[in-house]
Amino acid sequence: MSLQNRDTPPFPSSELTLSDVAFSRGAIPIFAALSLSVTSRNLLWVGGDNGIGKSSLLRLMSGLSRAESGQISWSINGHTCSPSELIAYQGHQDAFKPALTAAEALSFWADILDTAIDVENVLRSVGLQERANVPCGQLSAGQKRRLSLARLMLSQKPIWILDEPTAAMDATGVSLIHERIAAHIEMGGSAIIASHKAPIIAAMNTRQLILKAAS
Amino acid sequence: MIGELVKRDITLARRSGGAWLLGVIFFALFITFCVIAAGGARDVLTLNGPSYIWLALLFATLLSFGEIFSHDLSDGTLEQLSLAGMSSLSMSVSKAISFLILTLGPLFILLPVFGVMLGLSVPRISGLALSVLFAAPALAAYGVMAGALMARRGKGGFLIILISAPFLIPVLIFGLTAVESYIELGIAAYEFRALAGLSLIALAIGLPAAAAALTANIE
Repeated sequence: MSLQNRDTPPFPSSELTLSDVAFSRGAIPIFAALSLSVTSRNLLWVGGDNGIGKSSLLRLMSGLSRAESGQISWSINGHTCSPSELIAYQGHQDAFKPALTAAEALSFWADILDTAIDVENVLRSVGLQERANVPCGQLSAGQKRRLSLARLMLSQKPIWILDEPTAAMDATGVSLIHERIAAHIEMGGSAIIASHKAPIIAAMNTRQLILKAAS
Repeated sequence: MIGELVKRDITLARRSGGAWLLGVIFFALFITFCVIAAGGARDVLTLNGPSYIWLALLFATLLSFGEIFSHDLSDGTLEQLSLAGMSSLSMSVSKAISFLILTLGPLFILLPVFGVMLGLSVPRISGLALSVLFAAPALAAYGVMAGALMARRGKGGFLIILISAPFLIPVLIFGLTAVESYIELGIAAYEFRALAGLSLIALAIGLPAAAAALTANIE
């Protein structure tokens, strides 16, 4: 389980800052005047009901969509950088092709992400070594989640943004995810998690951001 | 990154159970129908052969435009690529290369076969092949552009044709006249320069337009 500690240096200090961000879906405002900052070794939990805007917020933080107003900035060691240098994102779509095997899919992303980490090791550390040659289309939902986790680990990006990472996961899967997130934060990374239930990650200070409908 | 994405597209095509050959089958069927429509009259077929082949080629490529980006957009591949630092322009270039290899390549290989079937002379077949070669970048660039514009709509159907048609018509006009001019003037015929010019314009317009449309679609 000391895979990352062995292969990768600790992360540089990184920061994700939102200042006065507003976002709306069509004419319906989702949130406004949101300011927060996530720095190294932070864990932020974004909670709230279905459709309240958790995923939209996560996409904004990943730089995948643009805020209506306000500023979102990403920086490494105090220098502004592009989100792609900082963010690894796991959304609802897993981006794994049904026709590729788990190992092939992961190797493809390893090539794209240009990492030197051994794909087989990562597969083993998420418990998929037995399924390496199974096409992604035949993996269960939980196994695909594990594969997504493996891609996060491959990316070597300091900030992990996870949208419902434990959905469809069994108990060992949930503890595996929490374990990997804890290890990632220990190395100087940070994580932002959106889910209905607060993640219980041992020995971690979890900050909370609960989105609520305006009454 | 571009190479990896092209390689993956080829692997996926190989495992698609022959779905990637739809264009080729359509091409063959279209020409067969033309032969039937012409009543099998040898002189008519020989006279119009290049037109049939060019039309079959255009329609067969139009079929594939809608699929260029739609799967990668809906399953989240494009957003993961963008977070891995791949620009929309690189994605477009990569898809243009995949299109040339997987869609246009097989058609190009089949083209002389159908030329012989329609009774075209060797110089006309060479002229035809060269005109398609000169027009290939234009077909790829406009295909990627139309595919990127329609990526959110899945199978864009007739909208794809509406978007691409105005861009493809000049290519068709010069592609066809190039075949006849080739017999007299060879590669020096001005139509080939016109086709090369159209291809360069297509690359200059189509790829950045595709990149802009992709960026908007990912957001």
